[in-house]
Formats: sequence, structure tokens, C-alpha cells
Amino acid sequence: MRTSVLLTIINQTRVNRLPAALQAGQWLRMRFFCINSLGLMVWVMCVTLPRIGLAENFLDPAKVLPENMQLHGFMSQAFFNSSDNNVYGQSADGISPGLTEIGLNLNYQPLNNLRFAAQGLYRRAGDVDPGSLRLDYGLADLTLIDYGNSLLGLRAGRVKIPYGLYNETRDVAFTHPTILLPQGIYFDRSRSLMLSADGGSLYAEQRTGLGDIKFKFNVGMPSDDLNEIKTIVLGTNKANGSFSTKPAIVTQLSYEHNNGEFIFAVSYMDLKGASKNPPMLK
Amino acid sequence: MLKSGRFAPIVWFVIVAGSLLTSLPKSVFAVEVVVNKSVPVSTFSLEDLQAVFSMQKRNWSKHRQIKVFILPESSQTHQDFVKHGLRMFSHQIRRIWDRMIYSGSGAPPVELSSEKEMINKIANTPDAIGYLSAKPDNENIRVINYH
Repeated sequence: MRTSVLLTIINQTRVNRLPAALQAGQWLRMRFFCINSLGLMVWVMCVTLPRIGLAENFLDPAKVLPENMQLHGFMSQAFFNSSDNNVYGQSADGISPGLTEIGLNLNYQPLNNLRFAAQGLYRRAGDVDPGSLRLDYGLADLTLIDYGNSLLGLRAGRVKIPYGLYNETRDVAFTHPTILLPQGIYFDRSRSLMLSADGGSLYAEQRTGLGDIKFKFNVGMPSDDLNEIKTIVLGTNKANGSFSTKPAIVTQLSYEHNNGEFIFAVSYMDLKGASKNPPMLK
Repeated sequence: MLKSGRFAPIVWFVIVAGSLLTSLPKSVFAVEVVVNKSVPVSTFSLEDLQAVFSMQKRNWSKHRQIKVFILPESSQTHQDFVKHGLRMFSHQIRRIWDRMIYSGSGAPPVELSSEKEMINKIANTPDAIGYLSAKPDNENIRVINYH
């Protein structure tokens, strides 16, 4: 279990008042400013407590679980302080504890070439998400070819979307270098579309003396629970109506030099969401 | 010409930092990569070793999955192994494992609490690999050389 406390102090330019209809989306616009002032962010992260004293004796997963099973988790709580505008709650002239993320995952490998993995995630994010639990991924991973330096496999179930460098672990703060990811790539206003998709993924890896080449081709149905879009367009996540999504294609080709010291990736993503019963205010 | 007043602090910093760095005692690298005697490999390249510990090379041969064991990040043996054995940064390999764990794409090595447990595991687990600060006196454990 990894525990992190995230502290962010944001010094930002004041954003002018937005039209009333976009009020709730205001904080999203502000986050662009946060990113612009990354240099001013002060953050402390990853207070790792690999094993708490008690856990050593009673709850140590290595001693309770069978050898082919692994349990991992993390917990992170952010505190924001900003100079003018609010981020995840009342952060201007105060400290907002509006972002909490807790995850727990289980990995089970019954056969040499077959693995099952699932992760549950709890997230609370300002007014947009008052606290919700979801299955982040839940998949079966079958290795088709594993020979020499080549690997080919298939994943089926709910699979994370391989987009950019950090999308697959976007809700796990210590896996990316900044607390808030750049909004130009990792959109938060439509994040539900980008989290994971129910379908399958074909993946291939080739290790060479000059670096590793990895390829992923995913097809699946993204979540249609698009609360962020509803909140931004209508100003509340309690509006009636719903969205529907279409099967999406996401593919990524990446090259990693010297075990990820340098990573270059090209991703392509085609996601579509439409309103099924146009959302409207109650 | 350098304006000595302006650059003097920098020059001093370089001199002091440089002399401090070169006078630091060199860490004594004493980590042995060990395997269970059943492992069908005798010579190893550095790339192979990195691929095994970053969980990208998963099998010794068909149907023989590599069982990878590590020590806690806080242990000196682990730090020495990652730095001098794998020639990687500790955070670099941690990031590879974290990305696998939290994206569902793989499982990291099994972490053991002490070298005593490591000796026990390597000796009793077929196809196991790990590392120790010294070569153990155990007939089921073999030291692997790599370059």
C-alpha cells in the first residue's frame, strides 16, 4: 500500500467571470492556468509507507495470499492552495482537500500464459464528483507468443486506454511527474471517455539492443457516464438525461530507450459520445 | 573577460562541489545475482538482467516462467543492486513496476523482507532469481555472471 499526500500551491492569473451557464466549468478553465504556472507549484508527494508495523505481522499480503496472487493499493489526498481562483473546492485564500483517490488491485496468475487483474478506484473531485467507486480495469491477459525478445498477447475485459504517456495511470498520482496532468492532452472535462473501455487489446513488444518497441491496438466501448461534460454544459451533475458512446479505437506505438529513460510514443484515439436523451436541467 | 565579482560565487560553487563529489567514498559494490540451481542459463547480458527485473523477459524457456524476487527499497543491497547491478535508478525501475501494477498490464517482482528470506526462497523455488550481498553457502543456489 502506498500512501501519498499531495500539496499544491498555485499562483495563478485571475480568470474573468464566465457566463452563468458555465460557472461550474470555471474551475476547468482555471486548471489551464495551473499548468501554465507549473514552475510555481510546490509539491511533496509519495510518503511511502511500504509496510506499516501492524501489517508486517497480520496483513502482509505476501504471507496471506497464495504465491500467484498479488494485492497492491494506494491512497492519495491532495491539498490545494491558490492565489485567486478555486481548484477542487475553496482553495483561494484557504486550503481545499477536494481531491481524494484510493485504489486497490488484485493480480492473479493461474497459468504461465494467463493472468487476471482488476482494480477498484474511489475518487472524489470537487463539485464534479462528490465521491464514487468504479471498476478501473478488470481483464484477462493471455500471452500468445513469448519467444526470445518478442512478446505478443491479448487482453480482454475492461482495459485501460493507452493514450499519451500517462493516461493508463492518470489517477495514480505517483506515476506521473506532476499532480495535475497537462489539460491539452489529458482532458479532464471528458475524462470518463478516456479512462478505460470494455473490449479487447492486442499488444506486441520487441526488445532490441537499441531499445524496446511496443505496440497496442485497443477496441472497446468507453464509459457512457459522462458526468464531467454534463457538469460543464449545464452547470450541474444532477441534470436528467444521458449520453451514449460508440465503440472506440485506440492505438499506440512507443519506443523506450534504456529502460524508459527516454520514451517516445505516438497515440491515435477515436472516441465518440452523443446525448441519448438530451441532458437537461430538472 | 569574466567580471570576477559576478562569477566568483559560481566558480567557488563549482570548485567546492567538485572537490566534495570526488572525495566522497566510493560505494563498495558487493551484490551477487543468484538463481536456483534449476535455472537453465549460465551466461547473461546486462540487457537480459534488466529485462528480467523489469518483468519484460518472463520465461527462461518455453513453459518455464522466471520467478523474480527483490528486497525492500529501503535495503542497501537493493539500492546497490539497482544502481551497480542493473545500472538503473531506483525510481526508474519503481516507475516501470508501478505503471504495470496500476494499469493492469503486469505484476511486479515479489518483495521479500530480508536476505535470509531471499536465500530460503531462491533455494526452494525452481526457476527463481534474486540477489544477495554475499554468495551464500547453499548447494541449491548458483551465482550468475553477467556482462
